[in-house]
Amino acid sequence: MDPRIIQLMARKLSGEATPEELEELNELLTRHPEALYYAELITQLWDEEKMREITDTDISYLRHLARHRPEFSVPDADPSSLQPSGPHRRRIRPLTWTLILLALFAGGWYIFSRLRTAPPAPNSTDTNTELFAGLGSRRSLLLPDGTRVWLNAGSRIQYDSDMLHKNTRALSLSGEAFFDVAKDKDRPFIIHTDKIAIKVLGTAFNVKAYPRDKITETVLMRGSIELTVNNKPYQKIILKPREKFALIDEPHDVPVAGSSPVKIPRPAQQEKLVVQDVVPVQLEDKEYVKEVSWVDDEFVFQNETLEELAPKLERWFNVQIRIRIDDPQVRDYHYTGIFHKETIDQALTALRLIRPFTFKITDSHVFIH
Amino acid sequence: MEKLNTDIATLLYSVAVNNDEPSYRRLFDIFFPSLKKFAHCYLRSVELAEEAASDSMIVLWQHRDRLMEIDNVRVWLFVVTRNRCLNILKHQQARATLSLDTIPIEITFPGKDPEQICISTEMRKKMEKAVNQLPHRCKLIFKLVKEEGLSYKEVADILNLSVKTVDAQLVTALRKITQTIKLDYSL
Repeated sequence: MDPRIIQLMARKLSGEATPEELEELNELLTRHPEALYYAELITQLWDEEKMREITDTDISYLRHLARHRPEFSVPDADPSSLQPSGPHRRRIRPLTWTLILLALFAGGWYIFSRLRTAPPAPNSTDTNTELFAGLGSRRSLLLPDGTRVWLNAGSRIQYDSDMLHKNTRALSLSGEAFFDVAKDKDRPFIIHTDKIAIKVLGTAFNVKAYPRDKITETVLMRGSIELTVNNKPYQKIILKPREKFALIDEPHDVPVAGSSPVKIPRPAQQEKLVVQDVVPVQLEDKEYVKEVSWVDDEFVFQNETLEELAPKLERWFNVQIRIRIDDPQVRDYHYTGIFHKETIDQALTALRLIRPFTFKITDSHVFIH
Repeated sequence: MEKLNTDIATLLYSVAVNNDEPSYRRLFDIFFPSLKKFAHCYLRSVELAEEAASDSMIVLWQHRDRLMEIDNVRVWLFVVTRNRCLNILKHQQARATLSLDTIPIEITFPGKDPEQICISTEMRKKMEKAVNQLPHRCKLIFKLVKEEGLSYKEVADILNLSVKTVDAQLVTALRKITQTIKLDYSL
């Protein structure tokens, strides 16, 4: 391939190309159509990292403050620090004060933010109605306020059937549900899950919060929602249409370094927050958004190994799946596709066509090997 | 990006003029994660990288009365971080010579939307591998341009190289990727 094309590509991607260079690149690409494919692939690879990672800086910033506290303390208020630094006694006091101030500040901030953003405490008596979709089944229902809810397999919601007479429409969810929320400006609709809370006025979106999953996920189809993670109520995340939010639990593997003067405990688990665009899957000339297709009774999967698919198939078909495959060719193969009305038998037969494996179904147990 | 730059300018102003700590906190949010990642390239330790980034951020606060004199704060912060890292490494290692070529750097293509055209997971792995086999300096340049969106000039300033070198190194990286594609599709 023409080295000049690569050079111009590099400049184009990094935003360094002059208009003349861009023109030259276009000209070269029309003259060397075989290079177009590379250009396309490289551009895609370069751009695809659109994931906007919300790094949680709260703890980092507290550690930063602790490490450099003297820089921020208000020395004017403490006359001892104005004098040239004397013997030890002088030195200890400002530090002690700093620590006390920091503790008060952190405590106060925590309480304040809890008070300010904590949603009206969900009284347990408020959630007098409970609905459940069993494994292998999906159902849709209408709430008293006109909101339509689709419940995916193995999910449960609890709400107050008297919600129209309350200030907020509160609901708690365990599992996955799609909401088409009826508009009501005066009564925000609030969904509580194990890890996150979502506040909306009127919109359509999907929430996936199975207690056993590592990932809690929200996909917004239209409108806008405000999302808070339960253990950081002061950090609000606004989602735009066709954006996906994911909270990923990651076991923490790094021990604490003991060099900072004040130790701030790290959470035992680290959570990663990610917001990214939803990209529909193209299958047979149709577009599917795999996160919400279940609402239409369609099970869409994309680029997933058998192992990744198994828990989803289990919920979808209400079966127990055990996989024992040693051939890495089969084990690591990534599948993309869609199931509609198929039975588990038909589904696995279809998958087997792509990469051969054998399976046995007895009652609700499936063995794949 | 432009909006972000205006935001940064406003925040810097209120830090410089009003000693405004909340604005500093927002600047911390903007820069700290990048600086930490950058420091990690040098130090290979999460804790050390966090300390280096933290100590670099505080330099911004310490020099707040002169912030308006800094031309490009992003580059300035990267340079401060680089110097700090090199210092740490110098103290840490008896080895006197330290060049960019000894730093291990990981590059990943996270690839969440591969259906636009078919970059398969297998293909992606191959390209990742190809890029990761590049010389370290080349990788660091690739990372800064791609992931931090820095310009050639900015990268050159941060790493103390010429713009020409940055240009050439990026071409090397892209050529490597192209070759991988070629092999895979036997085109």
